[in-house]
Amino acid sequence: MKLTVYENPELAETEISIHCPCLDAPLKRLIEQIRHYTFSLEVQKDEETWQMPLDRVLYLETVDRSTFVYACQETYTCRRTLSELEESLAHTPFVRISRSCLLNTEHLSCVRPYVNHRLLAVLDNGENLLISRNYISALKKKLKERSLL
Amino acid sequence: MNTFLKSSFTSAVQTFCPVTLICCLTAWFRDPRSTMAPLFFPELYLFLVAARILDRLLQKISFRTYPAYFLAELVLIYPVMLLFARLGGWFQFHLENLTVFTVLYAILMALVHAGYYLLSRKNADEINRLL
Repeated sequence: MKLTVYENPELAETEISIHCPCLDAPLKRLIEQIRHYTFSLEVQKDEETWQMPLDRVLYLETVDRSTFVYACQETYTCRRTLSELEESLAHTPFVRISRSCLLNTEHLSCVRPYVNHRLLAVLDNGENLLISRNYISALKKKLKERSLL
Repeated sequence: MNTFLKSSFTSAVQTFCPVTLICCLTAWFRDPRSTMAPLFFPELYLFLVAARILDRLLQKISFRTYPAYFLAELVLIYPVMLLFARLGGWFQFHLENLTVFTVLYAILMALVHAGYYLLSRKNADEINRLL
């Protein structure tokens, strides 16, 4: 595969064209990933609504029936439930790591063993999250899918 | 060896437990005095269920270190095991037996926890390789 990138400050928006002899499964997954990175999540803060690009979201968490969206330095809320978000983000790097948390694996730095048969996820901003034992295999599966790209 | 441990051994153990339980209970219902009706296995099974419930309750607490979690579980389950042993008449309650029982119990718990820790370590290493 040949990859060429042209940087032009005069362009109004980023355009990606893919030329291929055959649209195979890995290529379809790559296209799916690119599509989802152009997607954004509707979030709210201080009574204002924002469109948050997915790659800026570290993780999503439900607390007291409210869904919180954690970006690098700010926290927002989202009107959708975690289950709805999990379904719509199924083909993105997001994966459920506990009953109340969806993690963006793009921001996962490393994991360590933790007490109670759980794992500790260390994010690239230094934050720690707990991975329940029931969701460890789902995380592995998501990372394996990513590694196939 | 991995496949054997993950599938064959696991399924053998999963089959052994309910079959043993069913055989013991069936024999006991037919003739409680029969030597084929040891109640030890159903009692042990109930103890294991109780231990699992206590373990689930412990998971609600966030322990800072693994030794703290291990000690908490060791202390919490010990009296429950003593109670089952006493009610089931598993052994005579004198100092020598209690000492042996306590040492064996501590060793077994340590081995179980070590096993789980190694499994967590293995999972963590696998995930870190994928990252």
